[in-house]
Amino acid sequence: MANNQNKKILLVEDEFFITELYLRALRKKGFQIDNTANGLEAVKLAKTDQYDIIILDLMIPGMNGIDVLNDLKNNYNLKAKIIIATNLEERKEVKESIEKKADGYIIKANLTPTELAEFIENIK
Amino acid sequence: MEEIKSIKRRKIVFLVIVVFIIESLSFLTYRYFLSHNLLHTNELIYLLLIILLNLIILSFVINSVIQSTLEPLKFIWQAIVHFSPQNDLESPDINKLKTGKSFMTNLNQQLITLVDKPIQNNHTKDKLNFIFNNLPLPTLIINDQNKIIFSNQLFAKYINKNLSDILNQSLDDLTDMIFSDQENLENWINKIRQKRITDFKIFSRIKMNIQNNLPEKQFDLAVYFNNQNNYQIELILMIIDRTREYQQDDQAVSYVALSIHELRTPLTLLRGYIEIMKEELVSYDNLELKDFLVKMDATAQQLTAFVNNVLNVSRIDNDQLKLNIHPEDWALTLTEAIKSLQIRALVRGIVINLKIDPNLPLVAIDKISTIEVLSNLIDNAIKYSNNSKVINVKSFLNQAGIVETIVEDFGVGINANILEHIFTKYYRDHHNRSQIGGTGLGLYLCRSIVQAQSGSIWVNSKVNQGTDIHFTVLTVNQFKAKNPDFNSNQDFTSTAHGWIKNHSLYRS
Repeated sequence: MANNQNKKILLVEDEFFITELYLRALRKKGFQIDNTANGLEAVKLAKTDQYDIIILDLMIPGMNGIDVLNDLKNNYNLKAKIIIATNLEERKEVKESIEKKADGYIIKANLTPTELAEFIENIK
Repeated sequence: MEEIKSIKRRKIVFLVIVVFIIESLSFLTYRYFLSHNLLHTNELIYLLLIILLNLIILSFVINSVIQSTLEPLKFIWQAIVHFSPQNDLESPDINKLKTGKSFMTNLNQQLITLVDKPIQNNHTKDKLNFIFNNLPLPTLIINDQNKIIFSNQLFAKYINKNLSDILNQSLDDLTDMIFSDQENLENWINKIRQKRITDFKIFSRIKMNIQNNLPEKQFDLAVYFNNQNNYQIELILMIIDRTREYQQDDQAVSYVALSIHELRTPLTLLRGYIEIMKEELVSYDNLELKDFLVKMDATAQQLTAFVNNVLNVSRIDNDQLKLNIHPEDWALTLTEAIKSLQIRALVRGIVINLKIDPNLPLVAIDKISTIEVLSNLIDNAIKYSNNSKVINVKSFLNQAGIVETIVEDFGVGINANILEHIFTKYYRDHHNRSQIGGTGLGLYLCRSIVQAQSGSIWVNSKVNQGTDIHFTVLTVNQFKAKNPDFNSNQDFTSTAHGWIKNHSLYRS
């Protein structure tokens, strides 16, 4: 838990209820968190390279999650690990990008917020 | 078969009644003529009447004889119509029509008998070609070297190739058949070669991609095996195309899956808020409210399990179900799974007893999917427990040295005659279909997952005494022996229809 306080997380999610649940569960674990619902805003924040982990939803306004992932991985050498959070695991183009670029991948429907927080906690 | 028998019985009863009525009428007419002294004047009419009546009887008898004689030919007729250019008829179902099955066995035997000289002989070749090319089903003969020695034009057409490109090729090189079951043609042959001289088997729901630009075909495959003849014939294969029928099934699931996908986000939210409420209510004294919340949680879990089932079956149908096999501690996996499933049993007053033998070796499984298997088995046990309030889950190393797990209930049980069908997609026991809900997808999914992990699943049951479902998972070493590409340190992805090496999807 004490370790978590040194970890900074960016949560990119446009669904208000999910944001509320994830923020609560992650804060309970002691993480410092920023959040945004917009893809362009996400890239702007991520570029500052202050985050250890970025939790990235795919269907977001401004710039979709796959483009955000590609932009951040192709153009910036960030220390942050990017974890994709989605329910769209079947789509071929999604799979390909995730496999190539992302550092991790979760299916939102398979994890409760507490389980997600535990998953994030276990990322080394 | 029962259906055919009962139709025959009905026909006989009908005939007896008709004969009885007609003969009674004849007798009454005769008496009428006699009593009214009409016989001498109307003899001709009477005779005509009798002839007419007897003609009717005769036509019934002839019709009945023709019907029963022609039944085997019905199968061929169905097949011919099915493969003719404009067909409106579904393909013949050889499983339902016993005559069709015996026709195929007989035909295969005849083919072998007909070849009275070694197959290299030109005359024999012509003879076989003639018979084969007049058969209404795509048919192949394969020798004991696994090479195609005969194919009819229909088969060549079916796989979109020239006949000359097929001969002397192996079936594997020509086609990519995806079997719906772990038992495929190759391992069936390997198994029966050891112990049988002749055998017959029908494989159902085989998928085959002909070429990228052509639609996928789905069919049943009737295989006749004979390894004791002088003519190098080992297998005769016949394809019964069922693409239209099976695709309709798959599309139905895909459509439902598409709609059901939309339930995932609201369900995730619901479970998230329930989780928070449970945390917050810990310090409250309202026991009733806490009880309601537990029930809410159990119901949301059940709904999630249902959604996952439909989505997973749709993935199996589209060959998209991927399992990520890793070494896992089985006792830990089982304990965790049962702990979270226990809540669904407890809200119905049922207790799950868990007994795991100590020192079980590490197993090679996809944890999430295996928990789905357990979830389905426990849900079924709860559903069919009736008044019984105990479910036992046992896990041990069986005599073959494989980790076996049993989910046992003491409820309504399953009729012996339907036991073999319960792992079939959409199958529901018609005895309790109206009383107990379900989709007929759960056990089909369990079997697909267990088999994709190289395990097996089976059932024992007695009506009104209960059911025990057994399934096995392989230890890491056993799994390595079966799947040499498996490396404990890397992801190993399996699908319900095959294996993909080093496929990395769930990284962390």
